[in-house]
Order: sequence, then structure tokens, then C-alpha cells
Amino acid sequence: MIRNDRLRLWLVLIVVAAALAYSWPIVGKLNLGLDLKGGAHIVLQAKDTPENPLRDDSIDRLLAVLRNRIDQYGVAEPIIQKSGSDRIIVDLPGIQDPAAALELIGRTAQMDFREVIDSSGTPPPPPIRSNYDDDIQFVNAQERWQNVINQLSNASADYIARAEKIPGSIVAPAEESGRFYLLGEVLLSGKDLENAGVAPDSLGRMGVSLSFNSNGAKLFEEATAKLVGKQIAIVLDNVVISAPVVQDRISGGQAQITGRFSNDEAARLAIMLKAGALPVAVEIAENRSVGPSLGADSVRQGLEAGLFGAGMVLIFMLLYYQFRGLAADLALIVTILLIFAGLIAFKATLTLPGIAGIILTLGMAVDGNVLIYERVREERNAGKTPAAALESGFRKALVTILDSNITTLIAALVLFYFGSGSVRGFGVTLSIGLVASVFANIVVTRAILQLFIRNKIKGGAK
Amino acid sequence: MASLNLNINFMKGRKLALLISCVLVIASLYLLFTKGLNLGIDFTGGNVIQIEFEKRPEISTVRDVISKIVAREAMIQNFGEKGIIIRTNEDTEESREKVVAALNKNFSDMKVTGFEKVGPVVGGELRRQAFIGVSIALIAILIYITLRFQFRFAVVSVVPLVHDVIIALGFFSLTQMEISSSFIAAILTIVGYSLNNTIIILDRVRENWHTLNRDGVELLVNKSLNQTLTRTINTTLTTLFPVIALCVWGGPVLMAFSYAMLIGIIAGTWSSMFVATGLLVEWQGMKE
Repeated sequence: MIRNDRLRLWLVLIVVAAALAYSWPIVGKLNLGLDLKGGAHIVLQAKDTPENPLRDDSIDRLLAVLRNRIDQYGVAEPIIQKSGSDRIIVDLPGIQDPAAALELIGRTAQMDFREVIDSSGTPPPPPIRSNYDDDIQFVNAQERWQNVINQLSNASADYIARAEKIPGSIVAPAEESGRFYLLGEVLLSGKDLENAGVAPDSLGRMGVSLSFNSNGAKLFEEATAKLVGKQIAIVLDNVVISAPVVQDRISGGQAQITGRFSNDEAARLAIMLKAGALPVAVEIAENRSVGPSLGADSVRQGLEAGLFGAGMVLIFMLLYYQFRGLAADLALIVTILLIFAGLIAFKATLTLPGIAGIILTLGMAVDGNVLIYERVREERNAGKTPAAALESGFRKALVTILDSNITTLIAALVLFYFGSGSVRGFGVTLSIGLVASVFANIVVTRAILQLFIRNKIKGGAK
Repeated sequence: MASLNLNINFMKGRKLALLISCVLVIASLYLLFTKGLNLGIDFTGGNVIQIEFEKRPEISTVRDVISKIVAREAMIQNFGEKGIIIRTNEDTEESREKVVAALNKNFSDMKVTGFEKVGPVVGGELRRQAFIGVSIALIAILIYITLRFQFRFAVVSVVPLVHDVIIALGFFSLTQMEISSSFIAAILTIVGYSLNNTIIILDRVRENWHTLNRDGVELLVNKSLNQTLTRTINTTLTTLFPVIALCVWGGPVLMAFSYAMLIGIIAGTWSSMFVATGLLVEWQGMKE
């Protein structure tokens, strides 16, 4: 029993210390919403291209894909709206990496697998003067280099000519090496993708793992069977990302793309592939900053009212439950700390209604303490000693607390999983709040009360 | 510490309570179908106007000018270095021209750099998603409560949720208070609160269930309600404190959110004490 108490106390101290270390300083770590801080106002212009002509439903599908991508990237609570007939406004709250966000919404992310028919050499780097003894040698080296480059561009012209004769084929450059490829028709595209995730390959490089649906798996197996010993190219937006040699027929519909990805790039690519390619190409027509949509006055008013309300909760608990109210209040402060750490961890965006929601969560969070204290009181009335009443009161209240919170948590997780934008944001905040308050109720409160009772017993024995 | 050892016969008036709830729900539905809701800019779309100034005025002065022109709340933000961006929820050309004319009269150094009709932020797709999400959540709740309690308990705890949401919506239809996208979050919070309340009372009913044969269902439920009464009152109070503070001092932005919560908490407390338990007693009575 004593051992458990000590463990519990340590657990509380460790969790609190970790949460503090994680979220301190809070400024800059927590994303503030469009209403509080403003963000980026991005206008996307849909482009009518022969491959992807603009149709009536293109913009609506574009909206859906964009929303999907932004949702998967974090809990950003953006404004996404149709503007005119062929444009989309995306207002994103001030997220930490604007360039990454722009890529996330602006990139088509059309992925396909194609056969490599032919590929050019890799252009060598231009000669550097310091590597040569005199100017004549350097000029010769430059000429040789220019010849190689010319040959390569001849080959490129040759590829383009050949591509015209092979239906469905394209010429595409490699991502970094400067080499280019003549590629056959599309064997398999991102449409047949079921899931994508980040996974390191056997050498520890970051990659994106792909799993295809049954149709995709069948196409992939046929393609790899046909291309054993040859190269297959993975092409993203007409750039070859990698072109591995097929070792063997691959069944089961699993594949992996490896390239020179950083962790973040791999994660973004996985999101884009999962959310689907944009149905039409887009161009960023405008990208400027917008100020907060709420005046400083409204924000201050809302915050003050909320803090006042939260203060009343603290005072009420203190007045009604006295010392145990203090334990509840301390537990509540731990709850607040954990909520903020959770918001940072989930890249959630805090809006004014979100803050109001958190304040309400606090009112509901003390419910656990109320339940426990009322239960302990019932046990005391039944004639138990304080320590025994605390023990059995906690045990009985635990079932109630868990059942009520798990039921609500189920609802919150469903909303997080199926919702979008603010509904999704709500699901996240509510889930974090529930988990934090249950921890505070059953672990923190108990640790504090146990500590108090032990000291009191010791004090009494003196 | 105050201690309530009361024995109030809550279930005596259950038929009346259920009747009151029925009337409120029907009235709310009637209002929703006849008057509807006053949807804000997030739901309707409208006009976006971009304006550049030589010297940008304060947002609040611009808001003062515009609030006399457009019937409802407009969204005004600083934009880039010297511009502002205005979103209104009327999408006619006439309304846009009126806004621009009024601004021109007040600020001589401005020029309109762009305007466009925009679609809603919370469009049909998002509303459909929210609806599907809530439906799936309700089914998941039904399953969990059936596993932990009984199927009957699951049904009587979901009915109050629907009851509370309809009444909250009815209140907004009646007052025609403008609702924004945060209203959806408020409605969902109400669902969470009401559910929590109901489960806690039903949990005590479950605990006392072994006395069913001795006491009968009515007495059993009454006993459970009395045993959880202090908790119900205290938690309702601690939740109401912040809500009332937000209603009174929270300002216009949080108004709809706060009032939705206020109505929801009152309806939620009522429905978990009377509707869920009343239905359970009636159901058991039919079985016997």
C-alpha cells in the first residue's frame, strides 16, 4: 500500500515535470488560430490543362482533397472556401513552417509507376579552376564538359522524338541527379493506393511505404512480373523520384519509395499520397498575411470572462470541500498543464471558442473529484475510518469515472477520426481534456490526499 | 461540509416531466422547420473584398462604417502591408457596391484591389461529415453502454442527447441568434456533458439494481437519484460558473457558443435526471 502511494507520487511528479519541460515556454509552441493571431491568406488558381481539364465538379473535388491534406497535417482549423468559379481561398493559421504548408496545398502529387525504356547518363559537375594547373587545361576541361552536356541534350531531344511514337510515354527528369528518363505508359497510379506511411528502409533512410488496394496490387504484380531485371520508375508530378531495378515479381500490394527524404518531407509526401492527388493543377495566385479576425477587445473580453469562470470553479471547490477542495484545485492545475502539453503534441490550433471549450472542460473535470469526495463521504457515513473510506471511495468512484469518461471519449475519438476542420479540432481538444482530467482525478488527487493523510497520522502519533 | 441526505420522490412526477420534454422537443422541431436557423457567414458564403489604403485605418473604425451597411456581422482583417480584407455574408453585387461606396466616403485614400463571390466555409460536405460523425458516435456509445450496462440503459441514455440537441437548436431558432462554425462545437460539448451526467446516474442505478425485486424500479431509481444528488448539483454549478461568466462578460463573439452551452447544460441536467430515468422506469413498468 505504502509502496503504491510512493509510486503514485513519483508518477505524478514525473508526468508534471515532463509536461512542464515539454510545453515551456508555451509562447511559440502553441499554434494560435486565425481568429486570435491571423495567418496566411493563400489564393489557389486552378489551371485548365489538356491532361486535367477543368470540369464543373473539379473545384469541389479540389476543396475536398485540400481539406483532407490540411486535416492530416495537423489540427489547423483553416478557412477553405470557393472563390469565384475557378479559385480557392485557403486561410491557414500561423503554422511553423509556411514553405512546407505551401507545398502541401500547392503540389498536385500525381504519382505513377512506369517502365524505364531508356535513361541518359548523369551530367558531370562543371570543372572547377582550382583543380587544374593552368588556364589551357581548364579551358580544355570546360570544352569536354560542354560536349558531354551537348550529347545529353541531344539524347533528350532524341527521347522526346521517340516518346511521340510510343503511346502514353513521357520524358521525365530525375529529382536531383540531372539525368533523364524515357518512360513507358502508366502501369499503376496513385488512384489505386490504399494507404501511405513513413517507414525507414533497411539502410535506415527515410522512405514512404505504400499499400495498394486489390486492383492496385494486381496491377503491381503484373508490372513487376513483366519487368524482372529491368528498372521501374516511381514518378511524382512528372519527376522521377526513384527507379529501382525489379528483383522479383512482387505480390501483396506493398511497395516503398526511397529517395533523399528528410523525415518531414517523407511525412508530407505520405499525407499527399493518402489524401489523393489534386484533380487539377493549381497555381498559387496570392500568398499574403492576414491579421486576426477578432479585435483585441473581443479576445480580451472572452479570456477575462473565461478566467473569471475558472476562478469561480476553484473558489467553489475550496469553499465546499475545504482541504480536499485544495487537492482538487491542484489536480485541476495539473489538468490545465496536461491539456496544453497535449495541444502542442497534436499540433492543435487554439481558437477563442477553443479556449472557452477548455474552460468548460475544467468545470467538468472537477466532476471526477466531486464524485470521489461524495463517495468517500458515503463511506464515512457508513462508519469507515478516514483511510478506509478514502480507499473504498476511490475504488467505487473509479468505475463511475471510467465509464462516463470512456463513453464520452469514444464520441470524441469518432469525431476526431471522421470530422474535419473545427469538428476535428473539437474532437482533439475534448479527448485531450478527458484523458488529462481522468489522470488528474484518479492519480493526482489521490497522491495528494494520501500524502496529507499520512502526514496527519504521523502528526497525530507524536 | 454540507451533507444532503434527502429523499425526494423524483419519479412521482415522471409522466409530467416526460410530457414537458415532449412538448419542448415538438415546439423546437416546429420552430426549426418554420423559422429555421440564422446561419452566419461560415455557413452561407458571401462577398470577399480586398482594399488597399495609403495609410491603413484601425480595423475597429472600418467595422463601425461597415456595420451600418450590412445587416449581419462581417469579418474584417488586416491584409498584407497596407490592405484589409472584408468578408460579408451577402453575395449580391448590390451589397458589395454599397459597402465600397460607404468606405469610399469615409476613407479617401483607398482603392479596391479585388473582390469575389465566395462559397461557404462550412459547406454541405462538412455538414454531412459532422452529421455522419455524430451518428457513428451515437452508435458507438450505444454499443459501449450495452456492453457495460444493458441495451435498455443504452437507449435511455441516447434519447436525452437527441432531446438536448433539439432543444438547444430550438432555442436558437426562437431567438434567431446568429450561429457560426463554433456553434457546432458547442452542440457537441452539450452532447458530451449530457452523456456524462446520464451515465453517472445510470451507473448508480446499475449499482443498486440488485434491490430491484425488493424495492421495485421506481424506488430504486429514486434512491439512486438522491444518492447522486449532491454530485449532480455540485457539478452542474461548477460547469455553470464559467458558462454564465462567458454569457455575461464574454462579448459578442462567444455569445452564441455560451448561450448554446447554457441551454444545453440546463437541458442536459434536466434530461439525465428525469428523461433517462423516467423512460427507464416506464420501460421496466411495461415489462412487468
